[in-house]
Amino acid sequence: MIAEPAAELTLDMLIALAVMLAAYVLIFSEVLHRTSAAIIGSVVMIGVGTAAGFYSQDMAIQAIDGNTILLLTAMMMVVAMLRPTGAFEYVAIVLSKASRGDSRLLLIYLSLAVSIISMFLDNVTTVIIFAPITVLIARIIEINPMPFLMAEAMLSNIGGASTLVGDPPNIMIGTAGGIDFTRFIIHMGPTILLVWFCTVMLILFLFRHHLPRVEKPVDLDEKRAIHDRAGLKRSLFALAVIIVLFFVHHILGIYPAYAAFVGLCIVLLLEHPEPGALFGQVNWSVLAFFVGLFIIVGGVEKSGLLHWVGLQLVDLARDPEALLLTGLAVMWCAALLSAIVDNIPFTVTIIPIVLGLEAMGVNITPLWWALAIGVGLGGNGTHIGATANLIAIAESERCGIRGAAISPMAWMKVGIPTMFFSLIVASVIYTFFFSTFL
Amino acid sequence: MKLMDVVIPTGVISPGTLIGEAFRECVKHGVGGLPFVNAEGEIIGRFSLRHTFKSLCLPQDLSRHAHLLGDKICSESTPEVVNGDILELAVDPFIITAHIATVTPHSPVIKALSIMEKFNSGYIFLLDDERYVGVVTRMAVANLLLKYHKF
Repeated sequence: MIAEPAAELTLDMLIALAVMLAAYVLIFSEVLHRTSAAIIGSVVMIGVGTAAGFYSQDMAIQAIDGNTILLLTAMMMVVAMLRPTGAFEYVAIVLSKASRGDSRLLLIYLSLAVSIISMFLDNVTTVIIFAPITVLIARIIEINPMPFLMAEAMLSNIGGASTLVGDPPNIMIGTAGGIDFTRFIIHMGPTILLVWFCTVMLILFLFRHHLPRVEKPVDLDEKRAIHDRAGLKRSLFALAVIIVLFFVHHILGIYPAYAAFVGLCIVLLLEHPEPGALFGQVNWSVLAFFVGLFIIVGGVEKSGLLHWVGLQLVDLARDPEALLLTGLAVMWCAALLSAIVDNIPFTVTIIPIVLGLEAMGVNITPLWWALAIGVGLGGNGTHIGATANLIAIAESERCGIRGAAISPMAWMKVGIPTMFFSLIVASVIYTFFFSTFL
Repeated sequence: MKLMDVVIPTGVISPGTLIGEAFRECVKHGVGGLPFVNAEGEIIGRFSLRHTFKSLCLPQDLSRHAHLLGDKICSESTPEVVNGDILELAVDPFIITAHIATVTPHSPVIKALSIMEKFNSGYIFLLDDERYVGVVTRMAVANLLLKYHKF
């Protein structure tokens, strides 16, 4: 028997909360790998929920957001085909030569490239590819790569916040809120563009003593970067098809995941990839982590706890006068929490609460945008706020260049002002143009 | 064919040996690595030319993008290699302690080649009853094949 949502806290809710908190403690404390913790948590949630009568195996399967999982899977496979072509390295070298010795221009060019790519591809993958070539460029022209690595990670996080597919939380928000790609970019694009511009200016100011004029040429041959010109053209064609389909998926009535799989099919037909090269590059650990989280939060939702949380918030959120304040509170809470902990569990947990508010008659549309802005910008605050930050730090430590290693304090010295500054800019836009977010 | 026919007897490296001395021993015998032994003569690691160069002057960003490099960067970016300072360093921090694969005089050549392949190495140490005899290299195996078949 499945429990009806209750207005009071019940034992089922407390059991579900305990399982979720235990799983999140394991995830955030890194006692276990986060995927292992999510799998264990999901199995315990199903077992305990079934025994208590508020959850079942069927409900757990229904709780998995198929669009998010499949979209990520398809995009990972497309990137797996695109990555070995050397296109990213080509772009980085061409941009570094175009900067003509002006390291400030170099920072802007590389950050812009990373941001644009992160709008459509996974930003972690983008930074994984760009960070080593950035270090090499810095090594050759004899400047400190630290500002470049930090800028790339932060601006890839910001770039990813602008589109439905740029960041996993956005995919989840889009699926839950029924927001299509075009609507997402129309609402988030201008805000993120302004935030991006202001953030670049701030980073240039903060690193003004690390960005000298350089005389050494970038002694790298971009022509040798492309390993397979024909393969690159085929992969880019498939990616272009995916991006076009993203813009019209709502008109065609298809999910973004299906659009991504159409492009993947084109790659598969044109490239005939080796199964190992294709499937070996998919980050199954991330996908399993997401599945585990969906099942855990599904259990908490079915226990009625998230409905109960919604009831506590509904009076505030229902007041149209207070909706702007609620949105700003969601944005800042999401950002501050995302700076401290992984933003995925937070997003997965908050989505059913927001959906619950909708069922209670609240206009939740502005809350989706606030949530997307918050989780997108909050990750820049600390070194652990986003996976891309950790990639940049690892590369800075590995390169062995004197003064390049980014310590947690060094990150926060730049990251916290950047996060607050970008949040203030976003809040001003959100407040002044609130009617466009309704 | 027996491994004893191709083994190259060499000296061993002990704590405090300079990289320059280890290089000389490798060059003298044409081998890519040497055993690193403790005071009791027990092999506890290996000195590898490849690993030493990698640790000293080949960061990952450089080797990963080696195909993109021009001709003007190396000497300026690794002055300590060019001016020979690394030869005066002790080998100790550059010793590999994991995967010290060995063979015995009774091991077939194919086993030695298989182990070298598995560990992506061009050489393997030959021990007779825990006593170090020398290094078996791919080059030495190829040389033996040529001699054996009078090719």
